[in-house]
Amino acid sequence: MSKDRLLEVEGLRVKFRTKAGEVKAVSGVSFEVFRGERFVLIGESGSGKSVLAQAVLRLLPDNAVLDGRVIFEGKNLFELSEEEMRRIRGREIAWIPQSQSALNPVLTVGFQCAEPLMEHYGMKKSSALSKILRIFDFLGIGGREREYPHQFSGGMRQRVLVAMGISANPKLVIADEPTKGLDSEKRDQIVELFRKIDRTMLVITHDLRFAERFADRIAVMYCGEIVEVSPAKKFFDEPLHPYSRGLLESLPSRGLKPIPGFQPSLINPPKGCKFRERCERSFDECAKTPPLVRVGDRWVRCWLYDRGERA
Amino acid sequence: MIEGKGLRKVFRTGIFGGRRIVAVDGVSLRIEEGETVALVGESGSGKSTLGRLLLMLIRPDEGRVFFEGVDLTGLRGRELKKLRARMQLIPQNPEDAFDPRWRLYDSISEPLRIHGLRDEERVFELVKAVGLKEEHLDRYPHELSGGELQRAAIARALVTNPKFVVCDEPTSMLDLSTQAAIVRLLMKLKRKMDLAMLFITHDVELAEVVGDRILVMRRGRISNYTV
Amino acid sequence: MNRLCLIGSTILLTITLLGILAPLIAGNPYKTNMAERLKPPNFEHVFGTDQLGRDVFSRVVWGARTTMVVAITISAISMGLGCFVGAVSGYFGGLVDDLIGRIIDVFLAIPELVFNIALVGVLCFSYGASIWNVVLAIVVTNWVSYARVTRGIVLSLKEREFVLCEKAVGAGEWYILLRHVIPNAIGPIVVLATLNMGNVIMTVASLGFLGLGIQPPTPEWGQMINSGKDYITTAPWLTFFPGLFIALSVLGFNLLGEGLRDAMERRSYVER
Repeated sequence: MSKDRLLEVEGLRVKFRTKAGEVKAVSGVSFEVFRGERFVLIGESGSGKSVLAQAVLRLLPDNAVLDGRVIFEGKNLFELSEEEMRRIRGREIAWIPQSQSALNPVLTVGFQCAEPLMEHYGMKKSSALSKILRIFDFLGIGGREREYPHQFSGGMRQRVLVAMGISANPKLVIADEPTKGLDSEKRDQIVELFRKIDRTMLVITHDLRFAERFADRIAVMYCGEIVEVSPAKKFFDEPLHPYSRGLLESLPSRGLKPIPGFQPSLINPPKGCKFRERCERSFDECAKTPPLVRVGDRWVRCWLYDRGERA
Repeated sequence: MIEGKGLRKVFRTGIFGGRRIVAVDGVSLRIEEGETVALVGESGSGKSTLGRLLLMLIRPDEGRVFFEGVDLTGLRGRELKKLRARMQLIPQNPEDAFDPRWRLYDSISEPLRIHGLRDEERVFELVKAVGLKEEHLDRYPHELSGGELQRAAIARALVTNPKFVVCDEPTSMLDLSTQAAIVRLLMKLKRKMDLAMLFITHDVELAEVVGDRILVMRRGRISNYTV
Repeated sequence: MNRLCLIGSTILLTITLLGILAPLIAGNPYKTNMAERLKPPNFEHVFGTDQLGRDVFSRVVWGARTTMVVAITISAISMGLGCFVGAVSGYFGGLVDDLIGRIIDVFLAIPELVFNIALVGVLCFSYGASIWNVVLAIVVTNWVSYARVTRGIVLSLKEREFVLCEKAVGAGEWYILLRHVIPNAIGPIVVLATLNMGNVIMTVASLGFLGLGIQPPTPEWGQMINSGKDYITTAPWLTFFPGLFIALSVLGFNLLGEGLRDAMERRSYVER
């Protein structure tokens, strides 16, 4: 069990000071990503998942208050200077954002993808471009390096973003909602595309069917907390946390059963178990915040699984 | 009840309109009273365009649309407006479906005013039926979540008692846990009001659950669904 | 209210207040007194006196009135005309849009100030000097920026889903344009109008400086600088104070406009 931990997040807390109050986007999140694995973080909007990803890359705005540790290959990223962090971004940890605005419309895609290479490795434009050509071929957009972003369809643009992300040979690739707004056929293409990336991946999404086809391990986030971590197959066969179960059951193929109630606000999150009000199986104990407990090779934050035993 | 015959729509894009995209290519379909037809297709297949053609929100280049026997393609202005009360749209993006400067009450009751129907009660009835509270009516669009806005959009679409509703990917912009709730709401209201519905989606599994019949659209052409 | 807005509005409010209270605090800008001519600022004449012995403070304050009224009139007419044309053009598109688009392009190609000067000259020549010449001449070139901006905004608003929904619900085209599209376009237009005021004031003053605008003895800042320029070494207060007020007004409007623009951007950011 001495697998190599590439990324460890320990007790991460992120708060935003806004006019409306203090937004507790991430409340004490801990998890680890092993080298070579495909880790998918599932959460709906308002769960804090994007903030979590941005926190790892230290790309949060100034009004964010951070706490906890993010350890990448043994180094605590929060202790690094901005200069050192910049060397990590793109080169060690890559970020594949949601499609649209990430591409500069006035530069050719070849140049944009080569930029990280020129920037991080000091490569000359010609050598960087030849490396990019190979990556483009690999990803199925070969020969199009001289074109501009608007000449690509949405799905193809996604491949350009992937190329840009992996060009500098990062160890960890973080992808944010790669299938947002895409239909089923394109979603499968993204799965294929991502499978080709032979790197450790952390994908943030709310697309359960993408996760089902792509993930090795899954973590579920709700209201700023991780409520379940599990190997993918076990998760989809039998989710542990009532919220996970609710999510799966709301899929059309599994009954289209809605989860009652509404997501709590991150400004004044409820005390105790945050899913309590919407949970069919809640009981008195749920007034206290449940800890993340181990159940075999899985983790759950729910009193139903107190101390590793089923309640 | 709704029938499209040989519908064709071509869009011109690019500089000087050089590029032609055939969005809908000779499509014919019928939707009977009270029937739900699910239209499945990937993005770019023309399904949204087809929905809008059936509602006459855009004019077809070729072909005709019949609504309860009336040829909509020939109608203009006031006659078309009268029929609009009987066919409605539930859009894809609830956050952009309302005038951001209007309170929800004004937006939801607007169709009543436009068609000269005086029925305040109906607004409150529908608000309850879609699962919103009266206090939501006083708010502005940016103060509500996607799920709440979509419910409001449904209320607005149903306020004039239409007989036919086109749902254009009504859940694709919503969170997972809200999607199931909205689809169930649509199904419930459709049964209660005996609506004919065209449910447009890219999700085959959803189409299987929702539709009495499933049609597949690909590059502007339509075909029946085979498993 | 952010800081820019605050500073800008304070400046403008002060100047406007001065202008409104002119009859009460600024005495008579026309009264000449050759015995008191070219006196530097003193207790009796806080801004000094000009070459005809008139109180500069009085003339500057009354000039504020003149300038503001003229500038606002010009802006209002330009905005009304420009926004309407731009909105119709953008919303209905087609031939109308093509035609109006070309007209806008032609006007944009004209060097504004030169054209203003020429037009004022022609009008004065044909109809004699009048404030309305100034107004007309400037409106003719000023409406275009409103038209262009409005057209752009309307074009993008037209594509928004709520406009489609309005159509689906049965609203007519003019109804949608007047009750939904234009109200949503107002924001950026207000910003434009505020920033534009600075330009208008400068143009009015420039025309005045060239002797083409509002004629003496009616006090107007640009024209005061013109008559004061001969005495710039001996009596600099003649040019200084009108110049200062021009600068302050333009600054005030610019700050207010920038502040409004910031406020609007922030609002749409928060809403997301």
